[in-house]
Amino acid sequence: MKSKETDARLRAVLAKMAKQDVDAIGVEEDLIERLGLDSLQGLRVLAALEKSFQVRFEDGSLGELRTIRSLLDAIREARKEPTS
Amino acid sequence: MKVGLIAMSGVRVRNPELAALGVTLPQFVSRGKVIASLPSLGLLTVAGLTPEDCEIEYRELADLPGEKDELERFDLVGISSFTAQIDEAYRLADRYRDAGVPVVLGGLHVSLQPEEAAEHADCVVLNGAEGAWPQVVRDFRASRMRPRYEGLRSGVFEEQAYARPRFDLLEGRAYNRVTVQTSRGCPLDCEFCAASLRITASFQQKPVDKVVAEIRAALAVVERPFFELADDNTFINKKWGKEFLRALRPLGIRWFTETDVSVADDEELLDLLAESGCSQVLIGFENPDAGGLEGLDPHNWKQRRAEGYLRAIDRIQSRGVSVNGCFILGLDSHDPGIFERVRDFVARSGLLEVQVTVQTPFPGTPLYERLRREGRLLTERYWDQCTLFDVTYRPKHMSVAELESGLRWLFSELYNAEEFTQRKRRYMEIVKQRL
Repeated sequence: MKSKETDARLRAVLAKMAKQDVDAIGVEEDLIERLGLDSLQGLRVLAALEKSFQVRFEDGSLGELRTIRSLLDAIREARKEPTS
Repeated sequence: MKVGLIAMSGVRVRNPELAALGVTLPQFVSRGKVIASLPSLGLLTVAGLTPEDCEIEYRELADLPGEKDELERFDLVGISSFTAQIDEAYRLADRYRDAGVPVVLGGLHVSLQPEEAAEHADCVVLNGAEGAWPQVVRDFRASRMRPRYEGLRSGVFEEQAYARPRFDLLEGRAYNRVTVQTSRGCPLDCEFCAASLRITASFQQKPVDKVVAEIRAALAVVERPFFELADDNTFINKKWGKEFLRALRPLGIRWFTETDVSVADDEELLDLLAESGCSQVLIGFENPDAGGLEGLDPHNWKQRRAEGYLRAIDRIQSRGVSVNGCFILGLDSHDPGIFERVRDFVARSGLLEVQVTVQTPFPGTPLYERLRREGRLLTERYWDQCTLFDVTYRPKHMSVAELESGLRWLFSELYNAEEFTQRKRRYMEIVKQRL
């Protein structure tokens, strides 16, 4: 999957789970703070991303997946795609 | 007239070894930190009961000037505090009184220890503020404030007594959690409980429309807050519960509450719980099996329900609502084997969050009276150690040292990073099944 498509799909999942417009969020912004998510909501977002992209993030990295950049990297890593 | 309402916040564990554990165990201090960072619903309610022509300033302890700096000037100061910080509250009250500012003390501890509190106040208010505070202000203005007023113990949510908490006082402050109360009291009447049942004659339930209006008022001033229901047991009345959850659904909020295990009896209620945005319910299991629960409440209700704990946890969590399971260590039935039994139960249960505390005889509770009668309190006065983590009495079937070291061991078993990660993964898998 091309990175633009991945980014768009990731943002669509985020928007649906957080019930907010996420188009303007920068790739390095902290999503928990920006979207005002509590810790369980954060995990729900990760679960939705895993389901949507058919991947499984590494358990030890869950706490670090707080930006769009880190999520994109984790999705690529889980699919073993080369970083762009 | 300018009234200062001051909330004491920030309970600290006194035992240095336990305090040190909090630095290394990720989940250990999280709930305590949350509680400490909540605004005082009691004082916001007092503000709501204050006549409109009074100017009100809401302050947290951290907002106040240092001990050597000049205090902010008020005509009247109201202070509310938990037991653990009551001595700090008394010192603050003494400072204000030394500066010539009259002080009113209220809250749960003050209601249960009014003579002690009266030594540091011009006036003490017992029970809730409803039915008392408006009279306090009227009498103060007429220079005839009495040393003691008693608030209502029933009918607190009825029209003539009720006032909506002044959430507008939180505007501009950095809260991301707001408390709302839907009920006061709890019919279970557990021996150790030091919550609102001690200041109510019976279980009091707020009408749904009033709760919704409060939530809307909070939403108007705090951006996307997480709501914490300041209840002892929200879903005693399942019919009311369903009406309440249906009313919450369109608000799109996320929220947390405390309730008992019977919430899992009703499938429709559980579905509504998930649909209404409930993130977590805190349930006091207290002990992993029925054997250790005898006599905890007058009707042995918890003992009779213990057999269904695992099934209840599974039914609630399968909806994507996490259960914060609470256990009390140091019950009279507990021997040193209890720590492993709790660890094993937690592992079997799939609980997504766990809260382990030490039994605490808060003054004014039946537990306190019993342990005092039995000569088991370690000291006569230990209010600053009522943190839920400090041992203040002699356990029945183990030593104080065994309880303290067992507690530390259990914390390290339950709250280490690996366990925390496993719980996160468990929750995500449940969520994925429901998406």
